[in-house]
Amino acid sequence: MRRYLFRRISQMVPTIFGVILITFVLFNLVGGSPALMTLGEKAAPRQLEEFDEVRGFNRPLLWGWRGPTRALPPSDFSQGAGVWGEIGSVRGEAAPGGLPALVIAGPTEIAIPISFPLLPNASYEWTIRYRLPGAQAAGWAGHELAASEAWTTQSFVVRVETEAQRRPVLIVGDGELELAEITLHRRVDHPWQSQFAAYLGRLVRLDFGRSSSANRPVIELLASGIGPTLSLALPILTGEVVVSLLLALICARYRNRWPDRFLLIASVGMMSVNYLVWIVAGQYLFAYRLGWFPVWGYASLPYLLLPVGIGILHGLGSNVRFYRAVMLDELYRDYVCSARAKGCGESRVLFHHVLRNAWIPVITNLMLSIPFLYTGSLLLESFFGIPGLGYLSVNAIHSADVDVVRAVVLIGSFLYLLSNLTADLLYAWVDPRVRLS
Amino acid sequence: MWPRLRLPVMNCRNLLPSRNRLGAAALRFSLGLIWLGLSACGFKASDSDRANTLVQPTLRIRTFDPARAADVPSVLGVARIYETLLQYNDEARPYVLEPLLATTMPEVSPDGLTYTFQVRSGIYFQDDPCFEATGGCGRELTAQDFVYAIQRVADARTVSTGWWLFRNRIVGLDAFREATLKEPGREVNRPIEGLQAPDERTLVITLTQPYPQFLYVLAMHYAAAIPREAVDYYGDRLGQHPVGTGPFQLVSWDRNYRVVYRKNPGWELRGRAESIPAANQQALGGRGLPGLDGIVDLVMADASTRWLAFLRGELDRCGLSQDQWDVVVDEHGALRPAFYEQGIRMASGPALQISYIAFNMDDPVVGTNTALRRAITQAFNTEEWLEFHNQRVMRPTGPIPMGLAGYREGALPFPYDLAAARQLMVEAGYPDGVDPATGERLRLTLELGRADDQELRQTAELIRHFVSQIGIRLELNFNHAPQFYDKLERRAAQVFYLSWIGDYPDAENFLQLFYGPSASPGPNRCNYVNPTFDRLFEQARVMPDSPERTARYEALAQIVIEDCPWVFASQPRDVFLYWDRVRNLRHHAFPYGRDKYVTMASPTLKAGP
Amino acid sequence: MTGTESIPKRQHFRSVLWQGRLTRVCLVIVAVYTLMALYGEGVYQWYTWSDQVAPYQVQNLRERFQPPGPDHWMGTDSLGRDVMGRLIQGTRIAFRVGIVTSLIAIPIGVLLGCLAGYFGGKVDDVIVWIYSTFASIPGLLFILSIAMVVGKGLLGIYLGIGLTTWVGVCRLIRAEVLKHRERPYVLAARGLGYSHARILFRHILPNVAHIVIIAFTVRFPASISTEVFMSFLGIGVQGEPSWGLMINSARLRLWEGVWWEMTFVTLAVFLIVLSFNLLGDALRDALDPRLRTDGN
Repeated sequence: MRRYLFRRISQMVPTIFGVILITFVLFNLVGGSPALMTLGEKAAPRQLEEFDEVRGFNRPLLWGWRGPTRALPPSDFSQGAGVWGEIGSVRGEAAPGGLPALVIAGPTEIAIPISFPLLPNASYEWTIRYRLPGAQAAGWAGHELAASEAWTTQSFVVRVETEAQRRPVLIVGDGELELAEITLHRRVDHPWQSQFAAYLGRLVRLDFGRSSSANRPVIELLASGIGPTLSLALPILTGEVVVSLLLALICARYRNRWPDRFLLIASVGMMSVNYLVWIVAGQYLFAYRLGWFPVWGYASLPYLLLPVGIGILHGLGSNVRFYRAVMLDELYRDYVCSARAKGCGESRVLFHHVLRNAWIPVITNLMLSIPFLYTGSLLLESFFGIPGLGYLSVNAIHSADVDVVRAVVLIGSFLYLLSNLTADLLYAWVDPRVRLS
Repeated sequence: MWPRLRLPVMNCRNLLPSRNRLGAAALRFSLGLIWLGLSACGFKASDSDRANTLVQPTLRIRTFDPARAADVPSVLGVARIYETLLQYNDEARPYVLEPLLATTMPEVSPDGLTYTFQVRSGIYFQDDPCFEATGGCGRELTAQDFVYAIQRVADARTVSTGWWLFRNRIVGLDAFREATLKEPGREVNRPIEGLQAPDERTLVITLTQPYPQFLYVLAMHYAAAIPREAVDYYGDRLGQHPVGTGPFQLVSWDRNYRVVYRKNPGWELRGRAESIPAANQQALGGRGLPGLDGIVDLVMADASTRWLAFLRGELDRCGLSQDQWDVVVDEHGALRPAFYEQGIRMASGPALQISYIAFNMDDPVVGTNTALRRAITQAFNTEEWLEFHNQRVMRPTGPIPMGLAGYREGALPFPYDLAAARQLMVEAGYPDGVDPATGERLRLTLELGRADDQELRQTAELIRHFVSQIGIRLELNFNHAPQFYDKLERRAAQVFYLSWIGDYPDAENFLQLFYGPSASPGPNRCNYVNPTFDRLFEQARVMPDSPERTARYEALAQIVIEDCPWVFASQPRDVFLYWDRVRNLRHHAFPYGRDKYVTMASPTLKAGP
Repeated sequence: MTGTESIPKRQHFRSVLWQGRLTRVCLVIVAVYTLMALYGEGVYQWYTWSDQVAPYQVQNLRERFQPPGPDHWMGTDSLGRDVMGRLIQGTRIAFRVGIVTSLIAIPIGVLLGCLAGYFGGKVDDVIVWIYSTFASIPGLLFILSIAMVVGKGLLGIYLGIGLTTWVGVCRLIRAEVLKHRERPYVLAARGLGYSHARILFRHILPNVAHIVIIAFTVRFPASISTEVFMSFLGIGVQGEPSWGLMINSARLRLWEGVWWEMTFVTLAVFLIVLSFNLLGDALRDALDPRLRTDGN
């Protein structure tokens, strides 16, 4: 049994990793630069870079040596010389591919036009595509660019250790240095020093980040949301099981007679009604028209009754069909036949024999429906004002609060995997064939 | 909802003891207990003394920090907890200031530059752990607290949203701000020449130039008294732990869900007596202020749910949305008898607000083409617009709303006239709305500031309908608020729909939306720049209220009307409904802080439908 | 019951479908809806091409909240627009969503399922890892997040639903292909030296094609339901009428007794989902009863 447990857990691990990877990548595409959002558009590039450096946003995303830096914008000489205007001029179509090239005429020794001094004790990588006819080499940030008649690309790493290196200098001798592409990247010490690694590290410490709309750590929001969600989800779960089982038992008892037929048709019908309609109609009818329940809020027990009721009603259709199938399957087994032959009454057959064999798939189905509750609660909570995780997620999506949505998705996935694991374990505990295969 | 996985059914016979039925029942019972237990601990205790507590809906509050609060829900919350030197009189119309924390109206020097206030004695801050010196007891208010408040707004590191009101106004304040920019981490102890508290009861403010609207600024929440101890103790968290002298205290704040206030016990304990306006006295029946024991704000984003909750009596007051209007209110604007009989009452008054469609004057298509803007102005179907809004708005005749000096009486300058509009389109270079460059209809984009508001959506669709009559294809873009303001700041919106709520009852507050130097990122979001306007505006803004100033306001309004940077869409009537158990609720254009007069009648029964 | 892989399935299920009275009714309903959707698409295209305002977008503030009558068979909404016209447009949007998301989800699921089932080993492990990951992310949240990334509009819905719902199809196809891999006809084909691609696509795939049809009948109503939620939440369709948006605007006057918009839209959604559910059951009966989940 333990071996089976280990096997299942080891199968879960890559999945969890996959989920973390997907949520990380997906949400990185969404939010703009966190630095811009926090400090504002008017912040100087230097402030933004310092922000990024402290929080690790200038590291490579997943893996790699290079990350972005704001010190030098990417060169696009088709728009003109840009920041290089003081140093050189643009000659159209001189570079390969008919693109314009920057021409710097020597002899000259001039500071490279970066927006702010490079960060100390950091490594940077220059990638330069150039042409330097003549015999003299040029010096770029302390590195030699060998003379070359043809277009050539050089990449080199500079580690900023002295104060002077923070303001790199370009030295050109007699002749012209033509540049097609100049790119500056921040280079990390280690290819695993990526944003993703930092994110994993934070996750391990249960640091889910900070909500941008509520301005509080996400974990606090999650903790306060769990209670209300559970107070909705648990009653729905138990209520669903109890009611559906009862109805399914009725179907089994009167199989192929009118109660069975009626319940079957009703189930298919109820399955086809949209969740939204249940909620809107339920709130309108029972809260407003009849006044049996309050319309909105979470102040005491009566506020929960309507959402729980609606949740149960919605799940009833498909659950009744499933449990009925399970029961009927059992009913055609041999032992039922022999029980009847023995003289057992119909209800004893049902309750004593069928139910106890059927409860394994019932419990397993219960386990597997937990993750769907997580989703269903999104609508229920936002409609009835239950301040749980669903309410939190909907608000977060509307205000593009990336950290919160990420955390909620991660927890949901974890819940799904956990409930699958529990279901499998239950299975394996009961049926030895599963764990030996 | 989703197809279940087909599970192979077990066929094990001797799984469980035959006591299984009991076991199953026991399982169910324990699950039920767990459920009840969890439900119980999930709930907060319901508000005691529900009887004298006002329950109302609100939109999301962003902060309780008076220097940072800028949106109406947050300012309403701040004004319950913090108080200012002056407040608006509750009954007087037109709106008039009266002293609150000052003893009398200030003494103003003849040149209009020096204001001297006497601060009331016997006013205490609420009890709070930040007052470590007195063991948690709130200390008495001094004039220095006001100096500190304004200094905090000026401090660049506070990132206050109210700095624009004080910029270039008070002697020495801008230099102070410069100094704070240079010292990112440290306290700046630099006396400000124009903000002095020579003793605990006296406050002297010296202005750089006459500023007649300054008293209104002092009535705004940015100038509310704030204790230095609270700022030092709470730091960044001051937005969640407000400490003020006001009638209410913050008890709890569940961001997306509920805000609970309770009466500040210090008012009664310290014997603070406030004068009560005559109209409010009867309902209060001799009890002191505040009239309520508590306030509960529920963050209900959905208008339909709010309405249902109000009708069921779960909310004590509620706004009246566009869709419910004609069922609740009759043609004369009065509440229908069916509602009146149930116990619902209505309060209304003109809002100092203009909703407008603005053209970005920086945009190459609309900014330079006056004929196009005028064509769109004349395509705006006033009759249909008013009918859609059920006659509860009026179309402003210019940038100055009704109720303020400078308001232009009479007909709309560019009324609805489709023929004229089409002619103007030809003049603009788009005959029949067709752009000669592309051969297709002219495409313009209207930016809106909320994505989930039904009423706004319908309004936008109506505007699209109007503009389609002269052939323009208007695309609607529903943004979330942060995105929207970002676009405005970057001047990236072509046409947008926005409202301006007056900060104080002076037309200068509306005219400054066209002042060149206030262009984006300032409040002049349409980026209108006109040197003639600017010169005349600079003259008018330092004049005290007089017929000459009103004449200048009218001239300024006329310049704006001619150039059409805005289509003046609506000046609404503020309307809200409430149950008659709530007393002393009244419409006020500046309702900040008037909750202290409200009280609930007859604590036993709750009226229901 | 052993596999009936050699008997052409088409004749079998066509006869079964047509025989049941209930399924016949469902087929008719689906056909009617399809016609409505096509008609709606036609109307939309015509008015877009001729650059006029479509009749279902015409606002008439004098005729707001009219009950069903001779002019407007299903009444008017809060801006005086004809509910029936908008309902038909809603059908068009629903069908678009259903078809496009199935066109995204099903090919992905089939391809990956076939590869996983046929090749096994490392390929299988990787694909199982991918779909377990996708399956464990809470569905609605994932869809909403993708829509958040992609932006508003139908594209967000298509990608959101399409990229998250291929998992079920993949699983089923993989299970079937696994079974077929060891069958005599496949072994024979391999013995003959056919390439893997040929075996997979010309021999195995036709035999698992019935799963595709069943998957489609499950995916379609589920996509419609999800689109209704998303439009309701304000993500998704903008500017064009969709059932979700109509339900949202129908709530405004429900308290006062304006029942028509809500009722007709609810009925419309209900009927199509119900029909597909019943059709799905009948198809499963006909094609592969082992896939049924409700006994009978």
